[in-house]
Order: sequence, then C-alpha cells, then structure tokens
Amino acid sequence: MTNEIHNYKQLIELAVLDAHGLLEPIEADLFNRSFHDAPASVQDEIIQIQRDFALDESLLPSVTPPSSLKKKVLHAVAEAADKEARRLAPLALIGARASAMRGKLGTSKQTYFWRTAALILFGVAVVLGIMAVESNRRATRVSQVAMNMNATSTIADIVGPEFRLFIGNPYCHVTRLEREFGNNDGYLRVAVNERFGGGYVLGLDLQDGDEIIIQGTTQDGEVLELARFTAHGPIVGHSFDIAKELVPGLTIAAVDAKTGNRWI
Amino acid sequence: MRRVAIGEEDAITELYNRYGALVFKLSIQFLSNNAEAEDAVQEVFVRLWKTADRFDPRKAKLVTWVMLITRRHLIDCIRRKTVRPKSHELDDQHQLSATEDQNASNMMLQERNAALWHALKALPEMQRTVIERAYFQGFTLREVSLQIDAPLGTVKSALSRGLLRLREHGLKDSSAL
Repeated sequence: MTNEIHNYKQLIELAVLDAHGLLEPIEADLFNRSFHDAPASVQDEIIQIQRDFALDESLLPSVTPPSSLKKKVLHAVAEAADKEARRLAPLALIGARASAMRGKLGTSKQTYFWRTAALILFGVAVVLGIMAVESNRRATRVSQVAMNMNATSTIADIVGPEFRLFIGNPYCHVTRLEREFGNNDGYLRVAVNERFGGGYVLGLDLQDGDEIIIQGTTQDGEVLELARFTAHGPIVGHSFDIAKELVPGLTIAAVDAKTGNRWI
Repeated sequence: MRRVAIGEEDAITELYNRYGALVFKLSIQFLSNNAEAEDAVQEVFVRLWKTADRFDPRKAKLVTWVMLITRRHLIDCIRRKTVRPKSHELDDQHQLSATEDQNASNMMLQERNAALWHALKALPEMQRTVIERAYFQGFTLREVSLQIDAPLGTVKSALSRGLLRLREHGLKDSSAL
C-alpha cells in the first residue's frame, strides 16, 4: 500500500469524481485514505462539495416517479430481506434448538453430577489434545514439505512452469486477494518481482467465466492495468510485464471486469 | 441508516420518501425508458439496504451516500448493457464503434434532457467528450484516456472541471428561470 497523500487540489478533483461514482475501486480507496488524513477544515469542505453535487437537481429531468413505484421498492427490499433470512435460517435454528434443549434440562443433583463429570472429561480431553497436536505437528512437517512440492508440480502442469519463477521466489512480493462481495470462492495471488520487474497472477478455485483485471497503483498515483484474463477452469496462471522502476510502493488490487466488484 | 440496515419497513419508507424522487430522476437521465428506470430504483434501494451498515456519517451526508450508490449502480447498468472493447484491443474499428455508440447516446440524451444537453454543448470539447464517455457511456477513466490518447491525469482533471462547470451552468440556468 502506498502512503501517498493527495494535495488539496487533487483531493477536491477526486471528491468531484467520487461524488459521481467515477473512481475505480482502488482509486476510491486511495481517496478515502487521503480524506481521513486531511485537516478537518478540508474534510468539511469535501463533505459540503459532495453534498451539493448530490442535491443538485438543476440538470435533472423534471419528472416525478409513478405512485406505484414506492410499493414496488418496499416489496423489492422486503423480498431481498426474506431471501437473506431464508439463507441464514439454518444458522438461526442452531441457537433456537440449543435454547429449546436448555429449557428441557432439569437442575437435579443428577444433572450437576453429570455436568461435573463432563467438565472433568473435557479437561482431560483438552490436555490429551494438546499433546497429540504437538506430536502431530512434528510428524506432519516433513509430509507438508512433500505435499507442497506435489502441489507446486500439479499447478505447474496446469498453468505452465513459468509460475515457478515467481511463486516462492524470494525477490517476489506476493499479494493475496479475495472477493470483497458475493461468494467467497477463490483467491488470487499476485507476485511482483521487486528486483527485476515482471509479475505473475495465480488464480485458484475461480469460477468458469470469471473475467478479472489486475490493477496496480504506482507511488505517483497512476493506476496501471497489469493483466486481464478470463478463467476457463478453477486454476489460472498469467504472467504480466511491469518495469522494475514502477514496482516500489506498488499497490495491487483486482476488479471483476463484468460486475466491477473488487478483490481486496 | 441503522434502522434501514436491520430492515425496518418504516425506515426504508422514510428513506424512499426523502430520496426516491431524486433517485428516479437520475435513473431516468441515464436509462433509455421508464421501465428500466423503475427497475433501477428498486435495485438501488435493495443495494442501499444491503450496504446501510457501511454508511459513515462522519465522511459524508446521507444524500451523498444515496446518490453515490445510485450513480455507481447506474454506471454498472450501462456497463452491463454496452458491449465495450477491451482497453488493450482498441483499434480504429473499435474507435469507430465507440463514436457510433456516442452518437446514439447523444441522441438519447438530447431527447431525454434538453437542459443537460444544452449545458454539455457549452463545454470545451475535451471536457464534453470525457463526460459523455465516462459518465453516460460507462467507460472507465483509463479506457477514456486510451480512446482519446490523453494522459490519465488530464482525463481526470478535464472530467472534474467539466462536472463543476456543468453544475455552475445548471445553477445559473435555474436561477434565471
């Protein structure tokens, strides 16, 4: 991440573009950071400018929405809320069932006895568990090395051997990105060679048809499109060029080319 | 917005009462017919409900947030509707089709909003071009910069200055009425 602070003129310029929703996600982030770093008087000025733009109706058409639209809007929001509630219903049931079970349990001496026994058994299980984890960690260290080598070979078979030049290269700075919204499937690893330039993006667990743009913001605030690719399978590898002079302080982000949603 | 976030119907009704007309007017300005604009308004309010917990009153007024979400949604709508050339594939043919799209979009703008069109025509060519392409055709600033072969910083400055001048023009016209 760069620590670039925009000057006053740039901030006002960006505030106008931000108010109109015209900043790319990575630029909007930079603007937000600069806004928070700005003096309170400048923040107030920006808030006022953006409010004036939002309220300005002078160039908007003189139309009024149909009266039926309000009902449609409320229905659409209610429907979305219901859908979300149905999606979360299984989680809510866990709490409900637990509460129901608690209601049925008695508080007799027998109950206290079993609870004490369960606590003791739990304590023993925790101690044994810690011992088992420790010995298991030693045992798996060797197998992990072997597994990593296997995984690297498998990925190299799919995306080509070029990714070995970047992933795991000590000169490469690797940024891991995940979807900001929507499903949580997939992630990207973007490696940039800080010594010689050039980079590589590796996408894992992507969905077919995902079209992704990798962007980099230089220390000067310029946003570069480093790579753009479409996933035709869960694993995608793509190299890109970037001059080594541009690498210091480069901020990496990605955007879904179809929806504009960010990977952060 | 906290009440909106938890889905309180009264809060959503109040939000619509305050900003529904503004969102509708902006949607009409961007989209080609009333049905699309009405759909967009519904989608915007669902989006407002979903993102309500991210609203920070220390950073922006509520109306700014509502209009930002609306504008982003409308730009997304235009981007989804328009088949656009990828930035690295821009050649003469694509530039020609961009010009054709621009003409079609300009015609739509003229029909929908004479005041805006009048104000746009008064702008210097560079400012007018970047506003039309970025704001009404949904091109990213980087794409506009490649299309018109100008540095990104120049495009940003022209766009910002153009939008400020458009607003001044609108205010002058409305005060003259």
